[in-house]
Amino acid sequence: MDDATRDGLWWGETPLTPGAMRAWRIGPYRLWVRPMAREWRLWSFASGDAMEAGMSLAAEADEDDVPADASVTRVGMAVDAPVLSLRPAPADRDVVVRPDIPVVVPSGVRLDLYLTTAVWIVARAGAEGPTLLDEPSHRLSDTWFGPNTLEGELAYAIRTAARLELEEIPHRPHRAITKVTVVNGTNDALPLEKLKVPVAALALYGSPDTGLWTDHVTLERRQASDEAEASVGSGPGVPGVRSKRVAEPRVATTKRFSLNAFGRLLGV
Amino acid sequence: MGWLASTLHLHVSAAQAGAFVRAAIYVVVGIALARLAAVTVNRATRHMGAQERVLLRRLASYSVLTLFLASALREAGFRFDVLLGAAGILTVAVGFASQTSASNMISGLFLMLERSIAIGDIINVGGTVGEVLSVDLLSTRLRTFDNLMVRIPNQTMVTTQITNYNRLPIRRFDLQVGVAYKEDLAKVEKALLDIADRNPLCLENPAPLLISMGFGASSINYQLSVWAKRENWLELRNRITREVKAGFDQLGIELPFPHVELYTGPVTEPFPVRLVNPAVAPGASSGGPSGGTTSASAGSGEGPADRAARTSTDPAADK
Repeated sequence: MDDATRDGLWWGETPLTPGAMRAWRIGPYRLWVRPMAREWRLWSFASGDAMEAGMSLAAEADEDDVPADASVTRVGMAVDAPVLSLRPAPADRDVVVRPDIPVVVPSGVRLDLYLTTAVWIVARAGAEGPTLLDEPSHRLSDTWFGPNTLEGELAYAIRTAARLELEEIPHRPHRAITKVTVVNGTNDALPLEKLKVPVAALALYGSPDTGLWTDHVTLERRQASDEAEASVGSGPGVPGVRSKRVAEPRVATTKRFSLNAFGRLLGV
Repeated sequence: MGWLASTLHLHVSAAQAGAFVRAAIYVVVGIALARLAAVTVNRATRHMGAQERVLLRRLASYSVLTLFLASALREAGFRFDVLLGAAGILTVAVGFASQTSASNMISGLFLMLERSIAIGDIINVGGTVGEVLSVDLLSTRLRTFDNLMVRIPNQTMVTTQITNYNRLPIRRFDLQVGVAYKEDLAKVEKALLDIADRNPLCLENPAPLLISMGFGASSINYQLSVWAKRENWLELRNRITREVKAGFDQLGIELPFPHVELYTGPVTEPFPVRLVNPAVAPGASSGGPSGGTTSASAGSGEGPADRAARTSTDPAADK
C-alpha cells in the first residue's frame, strides 16, 4: 500500500500476494482481485445505489464473497511480483446534468454551481503496466443530447441538486466534484433545465481532505441560443482546495471551445 | 461467323505462336497488377467507409485488368476496328439480351450514389433482414441472422422499401402492456415510468413515453415507448420486459391474459359443480390439481352448456 492509500485515498499502488484475493469497496463499486502465476483475475460489481459512500481497501476476501452477478475479467500475462495500481478516470462521454429544480440565471449574472459525477475505475498491473479494467464506478444512464433524434450525440445523464454552496456537497469516494461557472451574457434570463458538461475533457485531481475534483468549467452564453462559449480552467478553481493531478482527460480539447450546453429537452 | 474468323486470323504460324505467348503474358501480368492495384487502393483508403473502399478497389483492379486484356487481345490479332464496325448491331443484340442486367447495373449505381445502405448495415428488404455483405454490380448480398446468404437483384433493391437499422444512433422500443381492469391506473402508470427511469440503458432524453391504447378484450392496454442507444436496443428490449414483469409482480399488479366468463343471465342459478372422482377430492388425496377431475353438470344428462363449463377454467385459479 502506498502513501496515498494509507492516507485514506483509494487510488495508488498496492503490492499483492500471488494467489491471495483482495477486495476493494469504493462507494457502490466492489472489486476483487486475485493475481495468479499466469493471469490476473478480477471480479467487479456495482450496486445500484449511486449515493453509497463507504470505502474499504485491499481487505482479505474469499471467492464466496463475490456476488453471482459480478462480472469477471481474466487477463493472461506472467505475474511475478504483483502490484495492483488503481486510478480514477473521467467519464468517457460528456455528461448532461439535469437539476431536480431548474435554476434560473438572470441576465448579466455569473453563477457558480457544484456538480458531482461518478468516476471510472482503472486497474493496471503495476504503475505503468497494461490496463486490466476500465469501467464506471456506477453505471450512468444514457441520454441523447441534441435538437432532434437525427442530430445530436450520446451522453450520460445525471440528475443533481445543482448545489450553489460548496459546503453542501457530500464527499463520496467514487464521485468527482466539478465547479461550473455559468455566465449569462444575454438580456434574457437563462433557465438551467439541463446542462452539458464536457467531463471527458477534464482532468481529475485528488487529495485526502477534499476528495476528487475535476478541472473547473466556465460556460458563457453570449447569444439567445443553446450555444455557449466553454472554457476549461486548470485545476478545481476553488481557493483552498489543494489537490494533486491524478488522471488526464480522456479527450484532448482546446481550452476554449463552442459547446451546445443549454439544449432543451426533446418532446419526442 | 465469317467476320469473327477473319478478325482472329486463326492460322497457326511461328509468328502467331509468339503473339499468343505475348498475349498470355499480358493476361498474367494484368491479373497480377490488378491485384496489386486492389491491395494498394485498399491500404490507401483505410480512412474511408467499407462501401467506398470496395467501390474504389474494384474500379482500380477492373481498370487495370481491362487495359491489359485489351492489349492481350490486340497482341493476339484481334482487330478492334472490325468490332467497332459491328458495334451497332452488337449493341442492339446485347441490349436486348442484357436488359435485366443493365437495369440491375444502373440500379446498383444508384444504390451506391444514394448511400442509403452501406456494407455492414443491418437492413430489412421486403421482409428479409440481414447484414449487407456487398453491393455488387448486379446484386446486393445479405447475410441473414440464421446465416443464410441472400442475393437480391439491385433492381429489386431500388424498387422495394428498405429499412436500415444502422443509420441512426438511437432507436425506440415499444412495449405493449395490458393490465387487469381492477387495477389502479395511476399506480400502473407510475410503476411503468419508474421501471424505465431505473434502467440505465433507457435514454433519459428522449424521455420514456406512456400511451394509453384503450380498453381491450381482457385488459386495459398501454404502450411504453423507451429509447436506447442502437447497440443496446436488443438488451433493453429483453431487460425492460423482464423488469416490467418483476415490478408488476412486486406491486401486485395483474398482467392478465384472455379470460372467458360463462354467464347464464341475471335470473339463472350459477352452474353447479359435480365431483366426478371423489377419491381425489381436496383432503382426500395429496395429488396436485391434475390428480383429479371435476366437471360442471346441470343434471344427470350433459348438455352443451355443461361441456362448455367443463372445458373452460378460470385462469386465476391456476395462478
